[in-house]
Amino acid sequence: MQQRTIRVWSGIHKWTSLICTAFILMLCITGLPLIFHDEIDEALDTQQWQPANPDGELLPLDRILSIALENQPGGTPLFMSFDKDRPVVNVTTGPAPDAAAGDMHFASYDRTSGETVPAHENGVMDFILQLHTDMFLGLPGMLFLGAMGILLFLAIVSGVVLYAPFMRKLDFGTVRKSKTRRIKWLDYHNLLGVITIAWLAVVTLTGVVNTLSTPILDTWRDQSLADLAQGYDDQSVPEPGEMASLDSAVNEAVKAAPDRTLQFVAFPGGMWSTDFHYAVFLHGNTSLTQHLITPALINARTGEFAAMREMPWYVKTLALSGPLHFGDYGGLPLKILWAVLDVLTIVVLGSGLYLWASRRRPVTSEVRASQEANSPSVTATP
Amino acid sequence: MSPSGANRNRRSLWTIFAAPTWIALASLIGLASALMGEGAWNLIAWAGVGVPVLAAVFALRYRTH
Repeated sequence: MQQRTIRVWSGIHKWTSLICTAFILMLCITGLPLIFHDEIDEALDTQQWQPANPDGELLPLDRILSIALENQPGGTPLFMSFDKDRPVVNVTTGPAPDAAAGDMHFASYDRTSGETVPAHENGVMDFILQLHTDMFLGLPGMLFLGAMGILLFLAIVSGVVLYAPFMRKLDFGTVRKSKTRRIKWLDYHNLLGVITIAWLAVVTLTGVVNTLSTPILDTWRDQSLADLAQGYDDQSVPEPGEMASLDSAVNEAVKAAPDRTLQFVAFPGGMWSTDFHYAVFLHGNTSLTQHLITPALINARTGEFAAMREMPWYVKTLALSGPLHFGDYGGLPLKILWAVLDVLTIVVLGSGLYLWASRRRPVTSEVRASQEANSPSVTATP
Repeated sequence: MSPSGANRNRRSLWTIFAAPTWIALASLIGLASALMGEGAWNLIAWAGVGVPVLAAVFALRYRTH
């Protein structure tokens, strides 16, 4: 590789890394407990909740919804979701159909009694999650972290290019501990950097996709659902009192997709539906398709079935970017490997920062010094 | 490794990137595998994503002087 080429790639590696390192370090550190989110929640959840009437009949969804709205006077329903392993319905309400996430109110209800289910409050994990997602800055914070992810990806690519000249005279994995401190940390940086690249590239790119969830859903609503909203121009978003039965809407949806499982309902006017439809989301039943959701759209005023819409590729990409970023899709062993690779990434970031802070000469003589340090007859100068 | 002329010990790009390429490939197969299913798919996933971690252990154990 020509000296000029090395200098250019080194410049790219240095600047992309320098700009994003502080944020990526924050993401790695906050990400570590988030990997074990489920386990931590479970461990902290001391009270074993039981439904009021385990063998009793399930209350209609319309009944649960009206209880939820009574508890939140003036609130508009936004989402209703269903727990997998217990008869619990979660209702999200807000001051307006397009309420911001911070203004939403979340409550869980026992479907056998209509009573509220105590929420497992975990302020610390919520704080960590919020910091990790958008640093408490909403959409701009999310997009900013996405930009940092793109810089990290450029740092990974330039790092791979620079790996070659540094490894010209070394066997894979060599760490020269007996040389200078700088050579030792250079070797750690190169070794741990190169073995984590595939995992880190996937976690980085899927993280970037996750930061784009708002624009992705906006595009989906404008592109895929636009035709469904046509002809309603003179109508406003229906009020709760104007809406058709939720139970029959859900029944229509389940009837239209008997091979899928109900996941959640989005109410009209929010991010996940048109202004006039219930969007009833169902997921597949195989390992792969359980991450992919498909909405059935039901006219929220008349209760009439409107359409079942397969998600476009970009929403499917977003859906699969979830598990591939969180690492929660392959059991506890995968989570542990996720955590180990996360820690190795922290070492790569830290050693990179050290190599930059202790730099004394241009990268091209750095490459030469590293190559010379390899031969036992030459002692590297610190 | 013997101290020798500038070009004697130079490794080809393929030699340099052989191990990293296999490690990356194993990682990617592992990451995809856990998406495909449970059971055996998870075993493949743990083995695949475990390769970079094992590579680090190997290097730190046998290639550190």
